[in-house]
Amino acid sequence: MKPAFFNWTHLIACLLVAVTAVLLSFGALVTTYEAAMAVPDWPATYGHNMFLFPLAEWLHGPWDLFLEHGHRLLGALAGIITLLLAGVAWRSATRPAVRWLAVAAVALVVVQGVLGGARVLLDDKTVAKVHACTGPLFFAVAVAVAALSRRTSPDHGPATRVPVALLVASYLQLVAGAQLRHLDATVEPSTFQLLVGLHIVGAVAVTVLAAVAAATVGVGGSTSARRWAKGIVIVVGLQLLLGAAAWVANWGMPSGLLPESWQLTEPLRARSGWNAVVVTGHVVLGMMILGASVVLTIEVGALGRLVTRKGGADAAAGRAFA
Amino acid sequence: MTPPPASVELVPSSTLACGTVERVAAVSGSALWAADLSSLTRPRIAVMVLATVVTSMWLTGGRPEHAGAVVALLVGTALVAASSSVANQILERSTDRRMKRTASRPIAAGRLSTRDAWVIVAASLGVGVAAIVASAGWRPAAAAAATWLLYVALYTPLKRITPLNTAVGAVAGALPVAIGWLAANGPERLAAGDARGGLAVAALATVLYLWQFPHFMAIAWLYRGQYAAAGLRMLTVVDPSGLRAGGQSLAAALAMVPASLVLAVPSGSIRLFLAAAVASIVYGVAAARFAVRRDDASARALLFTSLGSLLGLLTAAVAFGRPV
Repeated sequence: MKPAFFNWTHLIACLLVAVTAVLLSFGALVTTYEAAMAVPDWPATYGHNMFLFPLAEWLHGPWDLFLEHGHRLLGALAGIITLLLAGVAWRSATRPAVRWLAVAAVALVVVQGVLGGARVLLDDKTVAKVHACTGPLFFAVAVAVAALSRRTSPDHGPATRVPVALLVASYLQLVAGAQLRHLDATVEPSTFQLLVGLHIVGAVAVTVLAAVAAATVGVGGSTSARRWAKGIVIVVGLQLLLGAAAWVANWGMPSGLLPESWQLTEPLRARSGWNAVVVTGHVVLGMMILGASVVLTIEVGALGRLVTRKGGADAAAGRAFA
Repeated sequence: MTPPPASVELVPSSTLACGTVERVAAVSGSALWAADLSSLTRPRIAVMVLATVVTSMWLTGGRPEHAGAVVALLVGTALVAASSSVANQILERSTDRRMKRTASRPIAAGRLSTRDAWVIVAASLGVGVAAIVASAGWRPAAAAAATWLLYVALYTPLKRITPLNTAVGAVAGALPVAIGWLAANGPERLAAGDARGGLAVAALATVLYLWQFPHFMAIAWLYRGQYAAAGLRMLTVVDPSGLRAGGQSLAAALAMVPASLVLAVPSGSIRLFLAAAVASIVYGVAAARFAVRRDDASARALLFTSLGSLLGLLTAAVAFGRPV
């Protein structure tokens, strides 16, 4: 059968990835500026239907309101695109994994919407953390759908498990980072030090795994996989610098290198534009590393058998995940 | 129950080849009786149900005031769970006989008559519901009865009709959360403005619902040949490639991640949050591995991971998740 001119599943998934990237950036800014409670009601915005809130008030109102309401509108847009994606994938995608990942995306976007509402209605830091961890997971699924719904399968190189480990480590690193982003002021010093320690260990793990992935893929990997692996190494390097800068922007200079010196002080709330860019950029870059890890995992064939019924020859790709 | 040694004669000859029945005949009468009782009531599933009820109560209201009432509630719940298990084995006795895994069950093998089994079902259901009513009121009892009904009257017959049976059976698996929530006066707490416990319990129900997809898909994969021989329409029978089962497992495991994290909401515990993240991500990796490989080894690993991750999650919820 002649394939359709447009691969709608892939196109819509790419659109979803783009919209989600902007949505996550808005979300990160909301946290940076502590703007989550700028709109105290939900799902309405100051009593208005969310979609009918006056445009002028949104665009020319306070910065916090612009961020929070914009985050909500983008979330709604991502939700609509996700539903469209699931519908199209279910009708046209011949790959069951793509269909089920699209269904997972629907579940995640619904949960994420409810969590966003609960975060406002309960004004709860833990809900905010869950919200912060679900966003990147949704983004990763959207990226996976986009990559797996391409017409052509990647040209697999040697089987390697490292990108899978990198993918898991980069997500866990975001989970650890979310704990630091949404710290309760009453957190005990030992817990704070534990979280900082975890985040630093995670940074080391991601850095090492990114380097090993690049080295492994560099020998015999496809051109595309090599590019992604190199790109991840560069972004991880940048991320390390941003992480150090974000620390200073958030908490000031640490007094030493030992864990005991990592004492929680009053965060520097009055943010300059650059401080906000650094702190938010660190979060957004973390999510981009996650998304790139998903693509690399698919590029090296570790998820290849998700979409093919073949055994035998494909088993090599499957073993990569073992 | 009928005396075990004589009843071995009733086992269909086709099941003798599997070896289980020979082993059954070799053991003593009391040991066989205990094995039959265990096979009938499936205590491991009952323990999982009870752990769910306890966790749900804990997340809703913390330490209960009357330990005796909690014990009675758990005994009642265990009896209802046992009743549903026996009823399931009565209704599935013909398909159980055709599967090596289940052929030696007492009803399928003929060691327990259907009439006696129905008496056990009615008695354990009646006493169980009465114990729940006496200890925690009619609302948790109604939730327990609804769980029984859903499992026995809907899920069990659906296994012969459609692969969607897992989606229905998973509801029955998640409903025990409602028993704990109602027993801990969840609705009153919610009405009084305590939404955190309600959110966590909703998350627990979601976790349990989603958790069952990878768990049962792994079982359905491992025994796909036997399910096909018995005429049960599991997803791995309808789609022998395992792509649909793998995809469904992966989707459910991914959706389970945020639901697991919400368990930390009532307590705000960072330890519980991190434990939930690790447990659910490990489960997700095992589900992805099964979705990619679709072989017995990855299915077995997924099965063990499912039990470990749920146990870890519930333990962490009880250890660190006390509401503040």
